[in-house]
Amino acid sequence: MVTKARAIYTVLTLAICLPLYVLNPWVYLLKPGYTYLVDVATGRPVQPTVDCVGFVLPAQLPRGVRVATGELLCYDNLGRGVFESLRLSLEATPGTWVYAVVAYLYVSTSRAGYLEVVVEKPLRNFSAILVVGSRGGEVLRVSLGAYRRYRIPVALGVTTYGITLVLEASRPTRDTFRVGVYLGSYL
Amino acid sequence: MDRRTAALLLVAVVALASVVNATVFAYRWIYGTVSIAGPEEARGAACTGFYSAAAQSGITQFLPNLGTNYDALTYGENKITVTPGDVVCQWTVGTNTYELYESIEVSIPVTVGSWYIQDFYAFGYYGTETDPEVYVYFRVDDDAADGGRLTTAYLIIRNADGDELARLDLLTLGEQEGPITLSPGSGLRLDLYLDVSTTGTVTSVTFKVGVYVTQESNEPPSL
Repeated sequence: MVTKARAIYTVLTLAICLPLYVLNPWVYLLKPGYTYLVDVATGRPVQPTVDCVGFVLPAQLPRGVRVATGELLCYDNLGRGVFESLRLSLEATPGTWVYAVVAYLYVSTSRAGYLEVVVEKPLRNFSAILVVGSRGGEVLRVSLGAYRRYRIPVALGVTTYGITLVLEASRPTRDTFRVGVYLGSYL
Repeated sequence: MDRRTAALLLVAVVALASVVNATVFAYRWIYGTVSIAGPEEARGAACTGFYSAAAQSGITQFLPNLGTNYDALTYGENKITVTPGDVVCQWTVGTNTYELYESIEVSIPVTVGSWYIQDFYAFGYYGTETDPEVYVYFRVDDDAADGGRLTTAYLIIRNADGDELARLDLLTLGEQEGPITLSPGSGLRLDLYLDVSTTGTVTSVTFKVGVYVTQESNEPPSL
């Protein structure tokens, strides 16, 4: 039987829990803590950061690639800016294109964990792969043609991955993709 | 347990779940927009590809007269067949349209013994004087060693004058030759040397050669 008290109880519970549920996505936007030392002479960071994760731009972008960076989070062990996100724009013609190192993924973590690379919005009009490599060679090949989740282990300390994009298009078209990178640690 | 306690407990559980979640992931993302223009827009390295002057009459106004044996007889009634892939560069002059292809699939029937297949196809670069030079690398992506039927197999790359620029051993996976510099309006002649033994377990042998072109630097392909 629906009473006034029960209705108020239900509404109150929903009113408290719903915002928590809605706010939950914000947890992904929380920045992990990071610190760095600054050289007093140059004003530039000189020490590797702790728990600094994000994208670093190469000294020279491949031809036909434009990049807009997101928020600056921290600096890598070479003093380069580490950004939260990248917005890539590529202009090409039909054929197979290899864009060698469009960006680096910099991971400096105080805890061993894993990286999850998730294709959140796949390409529909042509095929492409994202090749993630480190000094030891290729570590992950991500097909951008389907929703999928990939996982690779991440060691304690600093790891820098090169990100290469390979496109294969046979006709004029336009498309977008989105790839999420999650750094997780084992609790 | 009264209602107030139950409600507090529920809120505490949800809040705890949120906090636990928050400590697990750092999230980063890449958003990409890719625009592919038509082959008639191709310039620079984009306007390089395979062609046969014999198959496209009039293309010699722009590129060397190469690729003349794309349908030559080898023995009996057997002849070379070439199937081009996608068009990557296209230009029109008057009513004539010319094309360069991304890839070719070549079938060459031969018998036991040594064969030299001369000028079976060409690789060219269409452009104007203001376009940059490009650097071309040839790499064996799939070798022809399967079955042991071929004792020698080379792809020989020559310029339009017939000078040898590179010789790629097709029996060695990953073998790479280059860079060969191409300027607009130049082309490469492709020859094949095969030595077919009487032994071996297969009746046909396949291989794949990747052609990598860049205009940014003379760095070899790393993938």
